[in-house]
Amino acid sequence: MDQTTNVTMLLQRVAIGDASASDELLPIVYEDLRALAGSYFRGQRADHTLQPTALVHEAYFRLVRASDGNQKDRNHFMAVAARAMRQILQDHARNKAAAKRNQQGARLDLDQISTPSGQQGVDIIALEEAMTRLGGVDPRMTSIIELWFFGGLTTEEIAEIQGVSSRTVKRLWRQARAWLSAELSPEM
Amino acid sequence: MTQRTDEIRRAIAVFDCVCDLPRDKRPEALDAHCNGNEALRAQVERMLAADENEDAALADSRKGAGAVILSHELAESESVADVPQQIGRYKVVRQIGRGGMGVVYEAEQENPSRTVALKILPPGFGSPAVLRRFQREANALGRMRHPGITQIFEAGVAESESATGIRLRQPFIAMELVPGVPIDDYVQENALSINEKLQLFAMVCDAIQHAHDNGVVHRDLKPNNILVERDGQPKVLDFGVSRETHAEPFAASLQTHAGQIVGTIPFMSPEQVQGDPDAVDERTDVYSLGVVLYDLLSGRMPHDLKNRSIPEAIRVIQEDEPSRLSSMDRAFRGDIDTILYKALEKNKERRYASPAAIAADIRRYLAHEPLQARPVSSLYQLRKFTRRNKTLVIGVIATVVASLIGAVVATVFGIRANHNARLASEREANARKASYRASISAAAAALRENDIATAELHLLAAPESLRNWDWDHLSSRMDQSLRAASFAPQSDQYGNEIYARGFVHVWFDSDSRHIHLARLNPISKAVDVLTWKTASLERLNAWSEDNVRWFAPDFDGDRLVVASNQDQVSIRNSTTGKEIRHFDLRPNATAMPPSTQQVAEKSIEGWTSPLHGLPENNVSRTRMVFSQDGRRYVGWNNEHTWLFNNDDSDEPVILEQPPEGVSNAVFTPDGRYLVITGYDRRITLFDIAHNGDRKWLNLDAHRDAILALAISPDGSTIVTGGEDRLLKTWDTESGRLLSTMVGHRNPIYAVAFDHDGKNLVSASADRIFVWSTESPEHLSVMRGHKWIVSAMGISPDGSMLVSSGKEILVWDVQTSFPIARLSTAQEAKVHTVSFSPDGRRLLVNSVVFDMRSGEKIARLDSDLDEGLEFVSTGRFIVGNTQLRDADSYAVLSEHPWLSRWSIEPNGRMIASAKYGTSILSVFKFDSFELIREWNLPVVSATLLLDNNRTLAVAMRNYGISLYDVESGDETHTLRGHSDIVTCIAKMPERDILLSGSQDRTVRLWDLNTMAELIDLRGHLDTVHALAITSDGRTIFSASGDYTIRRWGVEPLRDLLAAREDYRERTAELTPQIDALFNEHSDPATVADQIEMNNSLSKRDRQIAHQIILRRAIDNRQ
Repeated sequence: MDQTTNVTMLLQRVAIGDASASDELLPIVYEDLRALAGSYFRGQRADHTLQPTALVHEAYFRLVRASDGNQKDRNHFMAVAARAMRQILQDHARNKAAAKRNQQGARLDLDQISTPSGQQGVDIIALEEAMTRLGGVDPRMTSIIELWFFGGLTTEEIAEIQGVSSRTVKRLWRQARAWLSAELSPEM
Repeated sequence: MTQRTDEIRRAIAVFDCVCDLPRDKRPEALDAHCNGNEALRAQVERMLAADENEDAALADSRKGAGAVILSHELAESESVADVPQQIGRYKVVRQIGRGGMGVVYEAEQENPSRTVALKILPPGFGSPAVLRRFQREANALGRMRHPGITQIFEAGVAESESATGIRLRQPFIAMELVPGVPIDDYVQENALSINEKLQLFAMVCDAIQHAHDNGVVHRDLKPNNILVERDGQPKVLDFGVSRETHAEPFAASLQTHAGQIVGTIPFMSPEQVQGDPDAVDERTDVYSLGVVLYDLLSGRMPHDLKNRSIPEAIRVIQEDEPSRLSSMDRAFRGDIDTILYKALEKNKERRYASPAAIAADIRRYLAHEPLQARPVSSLYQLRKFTRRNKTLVIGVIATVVASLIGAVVATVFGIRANHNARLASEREANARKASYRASISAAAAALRENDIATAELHLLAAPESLRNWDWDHLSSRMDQSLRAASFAPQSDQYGNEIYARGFVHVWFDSDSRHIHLARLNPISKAVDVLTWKTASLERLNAWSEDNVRWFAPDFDGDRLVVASNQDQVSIRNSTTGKEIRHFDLRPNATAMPPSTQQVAEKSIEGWTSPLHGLPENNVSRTRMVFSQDGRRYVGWNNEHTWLFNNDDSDEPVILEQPPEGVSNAVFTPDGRYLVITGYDRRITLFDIAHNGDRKWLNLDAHRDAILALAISPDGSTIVTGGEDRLLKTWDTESGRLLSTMVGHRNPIYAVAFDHDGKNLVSASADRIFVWSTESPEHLSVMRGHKWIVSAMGISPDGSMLVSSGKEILVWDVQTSFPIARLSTAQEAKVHTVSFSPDGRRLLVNSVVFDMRSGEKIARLDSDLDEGLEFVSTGRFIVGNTQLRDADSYAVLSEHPWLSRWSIEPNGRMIASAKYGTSILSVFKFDSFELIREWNLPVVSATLLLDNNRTLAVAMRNYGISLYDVESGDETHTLRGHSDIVTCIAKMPERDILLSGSQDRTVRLWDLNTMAELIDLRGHLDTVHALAITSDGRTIFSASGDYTIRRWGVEPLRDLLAAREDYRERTAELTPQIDALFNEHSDPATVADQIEMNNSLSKRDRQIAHQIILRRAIDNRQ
């Protein structure tokens, strides 16, 4: 079975509620997104203003090679992709922190990663740790944050993917965001 | 400061209530919600600030920022290549497969030169449980040598370094690379004839038989796991699915469970879809082989599961007979049909006993010999046809249903799009209810498996607005400890948590007033020792010491022996770390010395000198444990386990080595036995007096590696704890399981008894728990009856429960303590137990007792014996077709209606079955004015609800019908019981109906939604009676198994505290009551004196009355 058929089939299994399919899909998406996301800023692309949705769509087309674009499949793909991005970033931040520590042999402060636009940095490791704890409270909150922060989706789009009302998504999102932001704020 | 999950949840809940309020209203609302909890308030205020802060870490503008950061980050550094170049001594060629359990590479080995399949766990997935499972697979495969089974070459752990400098420990298995295709593709591509298919299939059976002979059940047989090589040799792959997949608490989310089912459902046996790992054995593989054969022969599945929902698919597999192959193709008539049906039997007892038996029958068929299997008889067929599985296996179904709720909700919103908002919201509400029910059932199922992590997930998923008694009940079952305290887990220099099993000790000091925990950080080589007060778990000081090789507490617990890397041994105070003595010496093995005194005298030969006769390098990797008298010790390393005598130089006895190594060992205090636990989940008891013979062995004691082990001071009880997060106690002599205790959320590393054997302490990486050794089972089952318990009643003050079978027993409601035995022999079956409204008299069937003296004071004989009952509000006794005066007992009137009755709680109406007929009626109590009557088949129980309008009737079809009293219409039927309902009760203060049944369960029904809330399982025979406390918190059920069970919403620790309180109060009150009895011999007078004593609390008086009753009965005997 080639990769395309495999991904398509996995997406179909995700669509019927088979969550192990999304577990199987995750490593594939993980690898592809990692290659793709890196290439955006490695000077290989003219377009430097990255749109997360565009990134995910490109990955989707690369993996599925479907030009017709079944919206449902794409939604499910988006959820997996957001999860994959979170995982890539987490692994990356950890690797980087570990590498730095290894080089210097001393304990570093938490890894501060700033965005290209110069916005306030987000401590990825701290974010990840907070997300994990939040997931213990309500896993829906973490997946909403994933879709919003990594997938760049609006609450309405998230609502569609999760199959709940956008009101519910907004409420959960607001709660999650407030808690995470408070957790990550410097005066803590 | 790390917040606990419930703190976070609380903060979020308060935030949710407050965030939409205008700013000026917030402080007031915060006051109300936080109720003086300053930490909570500060947290919510931070959240509110962050909510409005446009520069907050996750402000609106940062939508999608994660992806941008990610791209930027990845561009900056060269990414680590995912495919490693080299793993151990294997050169990786390419990746050939990837699954949940790992990645498979094609790799080359130099010496001997060959191409292998290399299965490795992806980095980051190496949780200890997964590693263990991986190891188990390697061991299982390694034992097998068969052409039909992939050959394993090597299993090990490879160390590699990634580009960013991370050291990766990758466990791998190198095995034969099978260049083949799945068996179903193979038969198709090569267009095999029926006989060729059968020959090939028989070879598969041979291979599976070989696995079974080696104690390995495959559990996941399907064409994708059976490859056929070009030369026609089938090879079975993937022996990795072990029963542990069911018990993996953290990884196994709802979805994975459901997902696992989807993939392989058509090949699963009825016992497998039932979700009971214990029911799975070799015959499960036989069933799956049957499905594979069916598929190979016909290209179809025995059950058409396409387009079916998962619960429906499960039902089909459990209930429906497979369609006959012969009905599709006459070529399969006769023997082939017979072979298939024998393999696909629902009941595994009737299946082929082994794959070899199928292979033998297939070969007989091919040789035209008669089969061993008999064609299924038509009588049996008929029986099977009429049989229906009475119970759906709710655990699996519910798990699956819960995961489907998402789909349901999605549909709901599809409808909303059609502008049918009202319908949509109704369906949404229904979906929510369904989701709630599914969550509760799944949580209950997980709890039955002692899997609290999964149970908690399900409980959290239950919508809050729907949470009811059932939710509270399950929640209270999640932690059976007395108390717990958390502490910071150890971490390495990168801040990663360390799971250092084997390096943790927990113990009580000599008067059991303090608990110490010591742990060695394997990376920094520091040991730190934490101390708590046992009673409060208040943390006292901590101390630590660097450069430690190993350490061990001594048996009395006040001192700790610490051996440093500089050949120094010190004896330290456990609490303060203060050095008591200090020696220059280098012990060779890591051992727990019998006492620090013996260390001081250097009198422990084996401890300071190398183990007798062992090579030096063996000794250094050997762990040792001494017997308490110091006369013996056991030593073990990866290869061997030895039992040594310390006082002579005899050759050590070599003990049987568990295949995955010894994890812990302890001697019984008398030194007679040695207990050894293994990483492979075994417990072995060796009899030292009999030359180390095995006395008993339990191969399956836990679901995962056993790490913690201790023995009670009297030697009677063994306690073990492990990676399955369960604590189990065992009878030392017999090896019988005494109890299982849940509460830990992480693997248990260490456990200890206190010095009087009453309490236990156990430790995981971040928490200690204190437990009572009274087992949870013992606390919730009330034993004492020697016959069927058929009726119960609770006293009006709620303090006493009276239960009756042949004998009448009195219990304290709050503690379930037995108080007294009122009477030992009832002639007839007891139908009724009721108290007079003032609680002073008790009526059991037709006998009246005085509840102060326990004496029989009247006997109300009549022709019938259906039992009499006090009417709770009036002055009457009803029953046996009579209405009597409650004080004079005189018969006021006879009425055929007063036979099997149910009186509405406020006593205004009565529902009754007319004696000797099938007529059921409701009439006003005082005037006997008939309100409604029904002609119903014989009913077993009725209940008139307190709303005055509803009559609940247990029907013959096992349902409970609800009738509207005014209209006479049947409004609802509650279905769920799988046998006759014997009793119905209503929970005070809540809209919940309870029913007990011959199906041995008690079920709770929500009277608003008419849905079943929960089924309470545990009784071994019919539930005959129910009693509920007036606060609705505790339910008692009486059963034909001679026990009463208590079902509550209070955590076990509250019950234990109530019991402690009861004992204390009893000790205080008894002298007073003794004095009163000396003064007045009449119990009634004594009771009056107590009643008048204003210094006693209400509870004191209740307990005093119980003491008086017991004393009065004792005095008479």
